[in-house]
Amino acid sequence: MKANPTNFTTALRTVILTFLGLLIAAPSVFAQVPAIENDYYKLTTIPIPQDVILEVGGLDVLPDGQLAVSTRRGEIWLIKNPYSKGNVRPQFKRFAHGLHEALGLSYRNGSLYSAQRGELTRLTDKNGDGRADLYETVYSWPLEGNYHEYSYGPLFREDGTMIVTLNLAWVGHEVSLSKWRGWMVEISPDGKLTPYATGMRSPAGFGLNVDGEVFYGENQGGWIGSGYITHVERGDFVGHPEGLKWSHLPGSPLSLRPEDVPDTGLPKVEVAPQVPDLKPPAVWIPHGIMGISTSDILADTTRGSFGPFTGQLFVGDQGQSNVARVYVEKVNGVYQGAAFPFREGFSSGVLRMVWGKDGSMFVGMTSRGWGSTGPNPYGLQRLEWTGKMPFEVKTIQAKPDGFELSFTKPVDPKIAGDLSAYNVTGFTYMYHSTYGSPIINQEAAPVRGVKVAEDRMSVRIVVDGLRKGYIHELKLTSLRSEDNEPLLHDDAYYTLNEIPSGPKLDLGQSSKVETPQKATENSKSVRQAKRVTSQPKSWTNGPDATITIGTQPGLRFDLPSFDVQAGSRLKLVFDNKDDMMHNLLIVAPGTGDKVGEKAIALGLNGLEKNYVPNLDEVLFHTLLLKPETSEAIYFTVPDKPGEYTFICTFPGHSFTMRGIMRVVSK
Amino acid sequence: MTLRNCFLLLLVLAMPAGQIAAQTQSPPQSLPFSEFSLESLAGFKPVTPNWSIVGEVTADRTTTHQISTFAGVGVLVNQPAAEARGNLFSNWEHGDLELELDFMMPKGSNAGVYLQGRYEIQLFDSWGEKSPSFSDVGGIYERWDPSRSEGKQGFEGQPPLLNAGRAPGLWQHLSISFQAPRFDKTGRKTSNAVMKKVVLNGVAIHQNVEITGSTRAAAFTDEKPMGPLMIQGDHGPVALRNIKYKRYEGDALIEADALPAPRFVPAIFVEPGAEPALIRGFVNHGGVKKTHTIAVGDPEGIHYTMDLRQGALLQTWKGPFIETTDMWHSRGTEQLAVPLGSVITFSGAPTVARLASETTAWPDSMGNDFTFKGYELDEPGRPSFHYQLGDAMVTDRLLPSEDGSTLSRELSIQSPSSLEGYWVRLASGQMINSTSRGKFQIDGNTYYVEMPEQASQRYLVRTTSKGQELLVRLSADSKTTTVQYTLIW
Repeated sequence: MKANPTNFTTALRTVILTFLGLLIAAPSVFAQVPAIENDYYKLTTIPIPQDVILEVGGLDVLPDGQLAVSTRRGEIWLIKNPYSKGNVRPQFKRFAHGLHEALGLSYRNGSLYSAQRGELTRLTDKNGDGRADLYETVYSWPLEGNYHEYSYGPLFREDGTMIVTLNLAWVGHEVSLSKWRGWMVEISPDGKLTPYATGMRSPAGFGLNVDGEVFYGENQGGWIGSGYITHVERGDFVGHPEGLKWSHLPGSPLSLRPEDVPDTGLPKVEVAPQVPDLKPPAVWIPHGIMGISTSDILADTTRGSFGPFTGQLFVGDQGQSNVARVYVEKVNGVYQGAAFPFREGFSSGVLRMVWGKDGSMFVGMTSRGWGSTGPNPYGLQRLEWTGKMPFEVKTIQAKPDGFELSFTKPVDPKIAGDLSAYNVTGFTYMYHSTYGSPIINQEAAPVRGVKVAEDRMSVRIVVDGLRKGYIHELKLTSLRSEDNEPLLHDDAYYTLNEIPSGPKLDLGQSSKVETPQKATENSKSVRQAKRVTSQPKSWTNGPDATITIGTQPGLRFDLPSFDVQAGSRLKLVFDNKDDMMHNLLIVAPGTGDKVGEKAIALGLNGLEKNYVPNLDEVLFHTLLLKPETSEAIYFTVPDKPGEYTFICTFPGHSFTMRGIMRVVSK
Repeated sequence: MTLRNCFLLLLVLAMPAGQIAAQTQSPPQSLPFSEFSLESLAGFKPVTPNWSIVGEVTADRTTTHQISTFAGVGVLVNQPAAEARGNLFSNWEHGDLELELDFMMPKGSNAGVYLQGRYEIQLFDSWGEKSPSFSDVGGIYERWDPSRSEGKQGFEGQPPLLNAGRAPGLWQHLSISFQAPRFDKTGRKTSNAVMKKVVLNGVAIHQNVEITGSTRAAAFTDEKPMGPLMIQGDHGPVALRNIKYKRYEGDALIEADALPAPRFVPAIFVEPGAEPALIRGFVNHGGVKKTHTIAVGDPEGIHYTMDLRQGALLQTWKGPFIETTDMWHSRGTEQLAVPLGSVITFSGAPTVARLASETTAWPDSMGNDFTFKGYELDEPGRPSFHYQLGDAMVTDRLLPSEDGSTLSRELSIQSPSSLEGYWVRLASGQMINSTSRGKFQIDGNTYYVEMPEQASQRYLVRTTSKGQELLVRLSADSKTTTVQYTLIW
């Protein structure tokens, strides 16, 4: 077919514009990855009128195809033609206002339902003018008044029961200050509350899988080493003990008390035998690698309109502005499975996802003071499958002796049959009251055998050293499709709660190359000279200057710049006043982007290394500091005048969280 | 710049920025307030007989310039007549000054507080004025130059930020921080007089406003380091009480400027448009955070906050509506919705309750007996609140008057059986006076409550251990009733 020159020019312009847009929207390091993802999953932005502050809290699609959006500022907007069909601009109309931080929205039988901070509300347009006139309180729950007491939902079950989750408060640590905070509760249509499960810390996202079972997403913090998604059944305790303070009340489906949960720092899997109600995460979303703040969960019910992942779960992340893909399977009655990168480059923090009438995914966003990789304060985007088939690992299933990987396209059997194509590493997190966790017990799990299926659509691998309750990272860098394409995403993280029984692979039929056990990457800390935490003895007169740098909400240091004399002795105090982890690095002039990229590239080893890459450009640094902690470092300021950058390299922070140390000559 | 100042500045420049930010300077040492004795007129220069000391004053809010006095001490009152209308001067003179006082004016009156006898904060009956000018209550009155051309003689008047004034006959509170002009040794002025902060009825209406010279009708047209406090007496009646002051020597008031600059964030304000603005949020109610509230901002310029867990009217105010910066900027910390006008605060107790007998204490809060049902918006977008109390359903509706000066409340209560034992509490306070049938002054004239003349309900002013309360007992013979009242301030 001969290209129509006009169309060709248009297409070229689109490409250039898109590329430009990406350069502007995302840091240059990421520009290429979304460009590739965009070939398969195209991202478009729904234009929001300038005077509408659409900090998305909830999303739903009405039977007539309108998109309903609730916002942090308490408004509900109805958007006609959000698909821009017929080249008609989407039209916004305000349906409701005055809600208290509406962080969820669901349509049911002619009404919209939304969880406000203090109640579940049914909104109805009685007179048919397109605006709610009846605001009915379905159920009101108590609040203490802490900013972190968010309420989310509702999620409708088929029988009309609504599920609502109640965030813990934050006072330097998580705390449940009012009844059922830290819980998932059920509310009947006639306004009866039944506590359902507890252990939630920050349960912003939850959804039903294709079988109608509830999964919720969790955010790192105290007792939560990393984000994850978990299957939630009545009476479950999913991890954070604070909500257990209400377990003695009538209606509680469990009697576990907070003091029954030992604070040991052992992996969750080792604590579980002592805590019978403790439910393991179905799938961990490794912190800083796949995401930093788990949000919504959306099952692929599009029957193929959205591509090859029918039945799988999509999981949003606010801080990293991405959507992960999760395949879950049930082994020995317990859900587990694999998390895969899916799509990044969203314009703000991803909070909500919902299916459009055409099987495209609407993504509602907000960053509201936590900051996000996507630079905008809020946004609304739409993700469509282009119809092109990406080369991806479609599923990973646990086998008695390893894993079976299936693919979206036939693999190159020669490469796929080579053991060196598979690198498996097991690790987990500490289960303790401390905020977050390093990656612990990291060990390579050698791949001993591989068998490529006849149709080349799947492979079985035999892995030594599988560990129950651990996350298994699979790195598949060299795999190629039969058309010699690399994987669109070559890593995956399988949470192995249970190991199934059944026939093992007969290694006689497969390649059996001994792979030497790879030593984990050099895990020595970076040279300590870059981090001196006590005043050097030679500084008999003390430091020449002391600088204190704190943090501000919204991924910012509280000091944009400071001046120091070349060669002077500086004491730098980094005071992390935020409710998340940060570090502070002083790097050579103009190298902030590079150091930030290299910190992200540390992947699994990042936490252990405090996200400090081993680079000459890194001059001085602090450790990764937990909330409400501080550290002083001592160093001699470089002799060369210039504008040195100070920067937090925790993944997702380095784009905004930086400042200038101006070295002036003596 | 003196040599010493120059040296200090150099030091500051040499210090790393972080260290400066980290330093916290203690605020200037606080002087205690002195009370201006109103036992007699002895604290003032001799004056015409329009000024007197009395025990109490009242003013009918509907009668122009009419003020009634009752014998006693503690209240300074001016009742000017054609032959006696002198201004009142303090015996002492002042430079920098902090001043606090209560004032009351009858309908249509006009007076003023002149710092150093030269710089006037206007006192005026500006009730109902939505766009106040310099000549309204709280304005810094204009300067006047008769040599200028017609229409340009008045200049540099400063309107208050908003009209924070109250209805005639109500006591109002004024607080002024004044910085006197500075002069060098030759008597040449080196800096202007400054109204550092003027607060009227709880609202900062001026901050750091410079005044370049004496305002109109000042006692002195020249400027000096010192001058007496003056209360204008030649225009209209006015009463003052609780006058307190701090007289500074030297430049004590300036020192607050030396504190480190705070980091400001972009403010977020909400105003009603064509229809009311509704804001559900947390509210600071006398130091207690109320978590289930709705603020309703009406296009008529009169706003209120309801506690949805009690069916209680928490507060009302006029003028600009509400600030939500602390809810919506970044993560928000205290998450408070802050009224922008001068607030009248009510008790947080429920409005409707069941009492076992006429002597049963009014409940502080509702227990499980109370269920908030929601609200419905009418065509203009105003909410009617619905709540259940025992077996009674209450519809609670507030309606600003069209001129935005008063707020009416209508409670419709119905029960399937009988309203026996149900009461409505219209007001509570230290003291409730009935002026005429259905008209009440609450708490020494903080606000007025008026019931419609045709009101058939039996009201009762009840004295309790906490003060007094104004109750309406609902009829045992009916299953449905409506109670209406109007708040005026």
